[in-house]
Amino acid sequence: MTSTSLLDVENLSVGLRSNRSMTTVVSDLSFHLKQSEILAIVGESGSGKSMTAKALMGLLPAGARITGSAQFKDVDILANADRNVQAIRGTGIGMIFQEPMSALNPVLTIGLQMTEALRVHGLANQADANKRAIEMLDRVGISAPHTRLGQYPHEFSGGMRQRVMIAMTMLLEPDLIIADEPTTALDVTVQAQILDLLKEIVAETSIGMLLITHDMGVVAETADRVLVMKQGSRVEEAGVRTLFADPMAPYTKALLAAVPRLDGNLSSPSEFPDSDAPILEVRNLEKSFSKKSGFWRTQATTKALKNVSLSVQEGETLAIVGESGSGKSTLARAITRLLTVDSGRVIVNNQDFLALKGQSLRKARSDIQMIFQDPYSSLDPRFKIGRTIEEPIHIHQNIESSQARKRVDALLEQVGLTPDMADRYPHEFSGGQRQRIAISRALASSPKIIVADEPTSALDVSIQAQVLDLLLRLKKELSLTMLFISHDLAVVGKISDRVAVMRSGQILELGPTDRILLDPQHPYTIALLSAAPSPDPEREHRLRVDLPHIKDAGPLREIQSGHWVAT
Amino acid sequence: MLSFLAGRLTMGLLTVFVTTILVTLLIHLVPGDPVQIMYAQSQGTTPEQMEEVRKSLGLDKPIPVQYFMFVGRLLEGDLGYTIRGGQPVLDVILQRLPNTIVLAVAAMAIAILIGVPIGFFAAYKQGTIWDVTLMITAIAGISMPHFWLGLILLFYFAVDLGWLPVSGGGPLNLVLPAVTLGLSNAAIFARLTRSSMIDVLSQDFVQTAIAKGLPQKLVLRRHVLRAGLIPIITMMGLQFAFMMGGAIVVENIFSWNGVGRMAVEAIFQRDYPIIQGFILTFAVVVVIVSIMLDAVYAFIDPRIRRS
Repeated sequence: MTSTSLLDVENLSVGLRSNRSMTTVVSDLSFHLKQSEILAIVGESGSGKSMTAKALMGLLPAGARITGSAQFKDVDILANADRNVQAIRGTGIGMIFQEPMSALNPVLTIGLQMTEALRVHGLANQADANKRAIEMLDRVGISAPHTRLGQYPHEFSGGMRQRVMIAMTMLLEPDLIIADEPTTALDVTVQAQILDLLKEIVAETSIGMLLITHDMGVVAETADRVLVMKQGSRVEEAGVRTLFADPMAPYTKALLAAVPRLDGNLSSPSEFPDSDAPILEVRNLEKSFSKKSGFWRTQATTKALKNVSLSVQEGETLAIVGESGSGKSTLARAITRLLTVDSGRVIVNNQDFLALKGQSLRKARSDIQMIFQDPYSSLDPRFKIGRTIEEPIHIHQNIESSQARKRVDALLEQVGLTPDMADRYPHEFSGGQRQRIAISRALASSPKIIVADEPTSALDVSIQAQVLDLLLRLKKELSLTMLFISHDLAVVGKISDRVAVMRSGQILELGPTDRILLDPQHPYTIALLSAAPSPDPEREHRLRVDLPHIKDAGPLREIQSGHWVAT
Repeated sequence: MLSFLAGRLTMGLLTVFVTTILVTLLIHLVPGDPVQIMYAQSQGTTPEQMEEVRKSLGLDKPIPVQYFMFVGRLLEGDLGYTIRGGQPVLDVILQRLPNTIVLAVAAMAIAILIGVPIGFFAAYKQGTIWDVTLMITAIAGISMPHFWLGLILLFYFAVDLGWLPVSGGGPLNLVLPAVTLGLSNAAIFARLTRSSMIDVLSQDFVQTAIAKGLPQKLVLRRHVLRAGLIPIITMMGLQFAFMMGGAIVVENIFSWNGVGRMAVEAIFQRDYPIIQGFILTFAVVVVIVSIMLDAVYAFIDPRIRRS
């Protein structure tokens, strides 16, 4: 590879002003990027990876202090930042953001947003710019590109918007692209397509790319070299194969060990014979959401659950896996009665849970508790956490305050926290600690069933591993039955006995975890597994399987004992 | 978009319908016999005369019958006759309504022209001394009652300096009442614009626009302003209703010959047909303005226009 250096960052430090003091978010960071190279900066939240990207683009909030130098094609863009950065923005360095839903202006057409920079930089007149925009949309895989310029962002799906974003950036023919978590907000099948597209672009145009990510799987599949960051500093830098095969720093080793993998260390699923009395049974659940328009007329009905049936044996963990819009969260909410279904039954402990009222409903509710995805919004910020955990104890159990307090202490210890934390407020805890608090709240009413809706997807990988271990331990100790909702097959492999794969409100495949992950039968399950990035650069890249179009799947058929596939 | 507007229109008609019920009940909500109260101040009214008035207003009939008579006449464009003078209420209102609308529109224009730029500037200078000063001024502006501000302006500009007339009906006379009504609303718009723009400034698409290399002016004008104006347009409808309410006070201070001043006079004289007509007119104007703004809103926000 004969290539010249494109970007040389030396001793970059970034300080942000917070409450009159300076917090250093990046310290003394140096790295180099060549043409045709993809350098991944990887780290957990707070590692300073995004701040590094923003510093290079001059996007930091006012009052930020930046020192060091960044030579980009013989210009130090950090010196005399106002002028030098403005000169390279867009045409020199392009940037792709994490959230395609909010990175495009909702009130301006795609055409205007794509062409305005070309016009401003004086690179084309409007007709020429439109022509180039259409070509670029075609290049990034948008169908019927000539009809798209007049459309608005809300008319595109998340993956399509990210393609538009990439097209918009590429239109200015930059020499370097900074992609800040470009696929984090996307479904795994869409992520695979976007990563492939980015790699193609780098290979074709020999530009350089700085890929900011937290996902080791994405790094392994995409990057040439990797820079690992922690708390603003460089931990390790190496070629991608070296880093994964032979990590030097203890932090890198720990990070890699925490990444759940699809192959190896699957949980050994326990056998749960079909008994006549499953603890939880879901029969023919139907739910549709209708978008209201006009005054009385309703239209655009979306079926979120289509005739969903399943049963869970006592002590079993059933994972529900699916992408966004699959209906998995709707199912979790329907089972816990957080929303009302159109038809169908949920039987908990031989009781028709959906038909219960009053006192008996309250009693039944104490048996089935939920853990939510985002521990930042699921805890009341004005309640001390002791009060949050104590509340269900008072509602569901008739015990004295001093006893309740003891129970709170015990619950806190059970999830790996200490009793003295009960008097603190949620904002004093980290994300992982908050999720532990949410778990102890769910356990407070001594439930038999826990419904966990993506309980680890808002957490860093190392924290995710700890929380998963905690859930596994609690499940054993308290013989809990668990419904585990997730989009991440590797996480599911670690925790569940059986897996149900959902798409468009239907279960497409259901069976023991090892069978689903190692011998999937439904084309959608196969596509989902092949799209999941694997944290192993040596591995032969899997063939991407195009997503099968499934409008309405047939009924489930048992192909082997306990392994059901939709026809 | 058509179904969106149809929905708004239906809601508007419903609002007017509910108002007609309230307006019928209005007379009976005041404790005591309405006709006796009406004539409490004027001596020498015989019981026979009062009985006649009661009959002419239909107050001798059951309330539901009164309601249907009222709505029946309303559909023919008949709002009844004033008690003092016996003129058709509709004529009296239509004669003065344009004055009030001119005042409200002028005040609205002042509020927007002053409030929106100030809010936008404060958002851009967020956290600086500019921002703080402007927002403290805005709070003072919101806190200031119309009648007080009106009197102060009247005192300086009309009495002391003599630049503008104290009262009357010409274009020059419009200035002081419109400014009085506009200024406090400008303060509300300034605060609203500021928070809306700050919200937009922190959005990802603004970062995208900067990262594309667009000059700052273009980012602010094209990306921030347009997206940030949408919630403000929604608020304008509500503000217009408040402004019509404020007009009642301001018209009285400056003797501006609009429906607000008419309403206050009618209230003092217990001229129920006028009060009823006024409330109904008020409701219709507010409903029409909201529907117009919803149309503008739908036009600016493509998420509604295209659905």
